[in-house]
Amino acid sequence: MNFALNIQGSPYTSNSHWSALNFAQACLSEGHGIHRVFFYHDAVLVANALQAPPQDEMNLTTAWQTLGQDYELDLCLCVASCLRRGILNDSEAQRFEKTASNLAAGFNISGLGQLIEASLVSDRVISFGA
Amino acid sequence: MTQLLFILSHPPGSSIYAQEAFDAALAGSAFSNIALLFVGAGCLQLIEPKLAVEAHQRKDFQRGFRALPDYDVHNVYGCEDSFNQFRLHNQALVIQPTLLTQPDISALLKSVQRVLTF
Repeated sequence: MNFALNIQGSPYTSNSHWSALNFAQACLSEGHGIHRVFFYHDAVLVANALQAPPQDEMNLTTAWQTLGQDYELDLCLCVASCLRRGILNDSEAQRFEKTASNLAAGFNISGLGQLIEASLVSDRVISFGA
Repeated sequence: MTQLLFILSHPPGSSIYAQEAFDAALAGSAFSNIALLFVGAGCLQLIEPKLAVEAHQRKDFQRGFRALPDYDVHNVYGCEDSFNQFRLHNQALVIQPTLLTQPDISALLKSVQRVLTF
C-alpha cells in the first residue's frame, strides 16, 4: 500500500514527529511505500539545520534525514509555513534579503499542491496532528 | 463525488493552525472536489470574528468562508453535537454549515475518498 504522511506538530513540543517516524519505519519495514512526507504548520521546524538537541536525546532532524536517505523519501515542507517560521533555503533567503539560510539537507521546500497531490495518488493519507 | 474531506478541529485565535488549515483546504479546492467538516472547537471558527480580529489585530481569514462557493466548494458541514456543546445555534455565524449527527458523520467519512485532518 502507498501512504502519504501529513505531519503538523512541532518537533519537540508535540508527539507528532515521534509517532510519524515510528509509523513510517513500521510501514517501510513491512514493504509498504511512502509517496511523500509533507510537513505543515510547526512541523516544518524540524528542518531547521541550526537545531542542536542534547546528544543523549533523539535528534528528529537526523532521524528524518537518515530514513529519507535509506528509503529515498520525498521530505517536503510547505513554503508558506516555512517562511512564517524562518526556515529558508538559499533562494528564499536571497529573495527576502536575509543574512543566512538554514534548511537542513535532505528536505525540500514546496507548496501545498504537493500535499493535495500526495493525498490524491496515495492509497491512504495519515495526518499527525498538532 | 467528494475526493477530499478536510476536517477542521482547531479553534481560531489561539494558534495559526485554523488559518493554515483553511489555506490547505483552498489549495485542495484548486485540484479536486472537496468538502469541509467543522468539529469540536473547530466550530468556533464559524463565529463572526469582528471583535476578536480588531482586539488582536489578526487576519480575518474567516471572511474567506463566504467566498467558498466561488471556489466551487458547496459542501460545508458542522458537527451538531459540537454546536450544542458550544451553544452556537443562536450565534451570529460567518456561514451556516449543514449540521450532521454522529451517524451522518460516519456516513460522510465512508463516502469520501480521502480525509485530511487538521
